[in-house]
Amino acid sequence: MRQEQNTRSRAGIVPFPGPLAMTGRALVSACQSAGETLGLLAATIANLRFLPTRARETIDQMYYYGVSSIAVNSIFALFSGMILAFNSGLVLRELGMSQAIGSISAVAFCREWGPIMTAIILTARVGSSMTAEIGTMKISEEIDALEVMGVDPVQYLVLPRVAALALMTVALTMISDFIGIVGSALVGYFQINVHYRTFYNEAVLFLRFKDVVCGLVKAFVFGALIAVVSCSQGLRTTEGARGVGRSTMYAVVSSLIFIIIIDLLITKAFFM
Amino acid sequence: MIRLENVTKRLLGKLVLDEMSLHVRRSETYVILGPSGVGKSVTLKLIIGLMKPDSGRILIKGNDIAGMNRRRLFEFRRMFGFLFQSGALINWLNVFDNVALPLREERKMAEDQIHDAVLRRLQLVDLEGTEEMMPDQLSGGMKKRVAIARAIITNPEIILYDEPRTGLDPIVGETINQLILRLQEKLNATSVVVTHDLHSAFKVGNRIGLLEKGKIIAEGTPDELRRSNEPAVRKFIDVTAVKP
Repeated sequence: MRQEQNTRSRAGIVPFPGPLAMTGRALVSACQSAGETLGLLAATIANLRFLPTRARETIDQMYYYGVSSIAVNSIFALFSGMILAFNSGLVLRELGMSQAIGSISAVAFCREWGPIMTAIILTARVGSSMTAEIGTMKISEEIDALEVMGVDPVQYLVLPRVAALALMTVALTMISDFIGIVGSALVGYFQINVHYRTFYNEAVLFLRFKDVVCGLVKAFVFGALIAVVSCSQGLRTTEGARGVGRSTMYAVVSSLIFIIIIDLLITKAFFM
Repeated sequence: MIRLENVTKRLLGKLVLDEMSLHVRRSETYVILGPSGVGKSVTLKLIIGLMKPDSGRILIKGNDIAGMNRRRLFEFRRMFGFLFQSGALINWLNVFDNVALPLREERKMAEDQIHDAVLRRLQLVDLEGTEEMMPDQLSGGMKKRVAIARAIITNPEIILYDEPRTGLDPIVGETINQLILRLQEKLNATSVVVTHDLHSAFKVGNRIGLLEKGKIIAEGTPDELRRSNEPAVRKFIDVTAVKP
């Protein structure tokens, strides 16, 4: 057996690791990645005082990543609002509570659906692009070039992206909330027979200021998180084009997992 | 000016530098010569603090660069100019903004002064009129020259060149050699050039160190190296010289 293994390794055939070894490696890598992401988050917070000197880069990033996401975000919000109204409206109509569609849509969108939907879209659209951009810079020595010029990559690259995405996620969430609720109101009017005025009155009656604040806090945290995770994965990139692809995939998966966990924690903090 | 004392460095378990020592004097151009993969670029990255040695000391003007914290390191690096093998131009900035970047980040000069300084440096590398071009519109030689302009924009005391002729045709490569010599004459900086190109080493170096098996195995002026009878030096020179 040992002789066979030696022959295989001499022939350049790497033995396939067992499930325990693979799980172990994955755990070590995940812990390492989480540690580096937290380290980058701490470094970004420590550099916050330099944000005013990075206003130009931050505004560029807000436009590049945020403004260009408005269209796709709005389409998603409109149809999500419609789907929510359809699903809840049909059940409510059977229960004779059709008018509640206004309150359900408004609370669901402002508290949960708006921020999480925006975060998922931005993870896919912006987070992946950020990782690929920074990962490519890493393998083409541009990050090293910044360092040798005495330019801190955290200040120059990470800080503007984190600030821009945190702010733009809040703005995009507000747009999503509004468009999503309009979508619900349209379905309510044309399919469930709930008048706009009834929809509006119900929404205003049940929607609390706390719901809106909770949603916007989530949006801010999600935006910052997506940017930090994406930049961190980009900065860890090795092994050329394949490494960029791998980092991008890890960034998207890690961001989505972090988002869902933090969503639970923020919801708990606000409502329990 | 630059002193490496018994520096050891391992990468992925492989010994790259083995108690290597090196001394670069003020205002000289020192060439680290050797075949690919012997640790020449690693040596440059150690000198500028992009990597830390496993053991040994790296002294720049008497300061141990490996012991510096991140902030001090960023300040200290401003005395360096570094030419990367690939040029490493920031891909979303045009030529002007790439060259201006170190000055803008220093925040010591007004924009009109930066403008003049950038144009002067672009003139020095024969690239007037390319200010608005983006990196992907430049040829390999132009990228290297823009990178050189960026490396010297702050009037560095030390310039490090990582394989300056790699990927260039012989004519453009010769232009880069001439440029290194011209900069040496004008800026009087201390330069370290790493290359596997014997012709380039003899052309630009005041002294040359042959790096092999993690150590400088021979050192001297170009003439001394040409006349050397050391088997390792002869082997490298003879093998390289017969290349077409």
